[in-house]
Amino acid sequence: MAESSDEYILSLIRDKNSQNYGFSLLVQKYQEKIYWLIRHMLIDHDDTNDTVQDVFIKVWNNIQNFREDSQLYTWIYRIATNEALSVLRKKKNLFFLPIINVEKKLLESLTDDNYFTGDQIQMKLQQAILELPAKQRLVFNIKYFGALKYEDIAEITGTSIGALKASFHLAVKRIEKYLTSH
Amino acid sequence: MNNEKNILNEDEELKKMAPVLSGVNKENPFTAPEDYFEALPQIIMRKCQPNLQAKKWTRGIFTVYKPVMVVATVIVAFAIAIFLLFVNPWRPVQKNEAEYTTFVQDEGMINDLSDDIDESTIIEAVLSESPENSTDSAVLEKDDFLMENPDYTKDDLINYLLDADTDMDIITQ
Repeated sequence: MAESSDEYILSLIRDKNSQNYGFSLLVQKYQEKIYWLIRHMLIDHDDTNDTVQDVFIKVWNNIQNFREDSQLYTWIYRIATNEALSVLRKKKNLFFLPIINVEKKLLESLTDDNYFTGDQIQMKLQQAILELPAKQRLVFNIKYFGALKYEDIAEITGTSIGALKASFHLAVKRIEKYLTSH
Repeated sequence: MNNEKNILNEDEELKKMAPVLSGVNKENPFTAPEDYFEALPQIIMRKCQPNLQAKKWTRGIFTVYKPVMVVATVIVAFAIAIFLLFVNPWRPVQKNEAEYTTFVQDEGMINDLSDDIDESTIIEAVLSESPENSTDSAVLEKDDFLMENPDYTKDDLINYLLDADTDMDIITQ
């Protein structure tokens, strides 16, 4: 089935008679992209599933206020990244003891994950990514796995392109160092 | 076209900067449960529907009635304030101690007298009381009263007694 354009989806959502249909098209179009973006951040499927649902509920609640100042997909990505970072922050507050940090928990989820089918080097790459600070990890994942342009990532994260390039460059260096030393 | 060039340039750059990383398979190493993406839209839509109904309900109640309720509350509060300040029948009358004592004494005395003695008896008692029999300095003989209050004349007193429907015999007496 051909993907509907964002304009068409928005026009359906804005009409009361077709808003449910329009929103289901929106979910179908973006669910996988949002799921994988969040999954790379949270690792665990159940956490990701909850967060994806929360993201789309937020999209549904706020879509009537969407003014098209930005593109629909960057707006949805922004909600998703904020939600993912918020979940990580909450987890950090939950595991306030320094010996049980979030990254360690995420690493455990990664090794126990039944839905991880990558090879050994891919596992090592994920471990290296988990060593990065949350915001840097987000930038790396969107750029490396999501293959988005810096312009779009800048709009999603609210960071300048220069800062994003520097962040990605730094992340790549750290990951390369991890991969060569482990 | 430009975009493809950029991606190639970035890949080249990555190869130079991180040869080990660029050698890692870029394929997504995670998987989702079977049929997850087929079921997800329905789950999300189900969760959004109660949200919509709740939103409609709150919008219905608060958007329509909120301004009316605010105006009504302000009017009622204003009316209560006015009532409490100016009309309140339960408001205690502020009297100082001396006023209050005098008020209670006067009221009490008048009530007592009106219950037990009629007016003619009081006047009779006042007029017949001689100065030598008087023990109370506050009770003045009628001439003394008129001397101490030059504004009042005998005619004033008679007029007052006539106004009060006092018996003529008592007045002449």
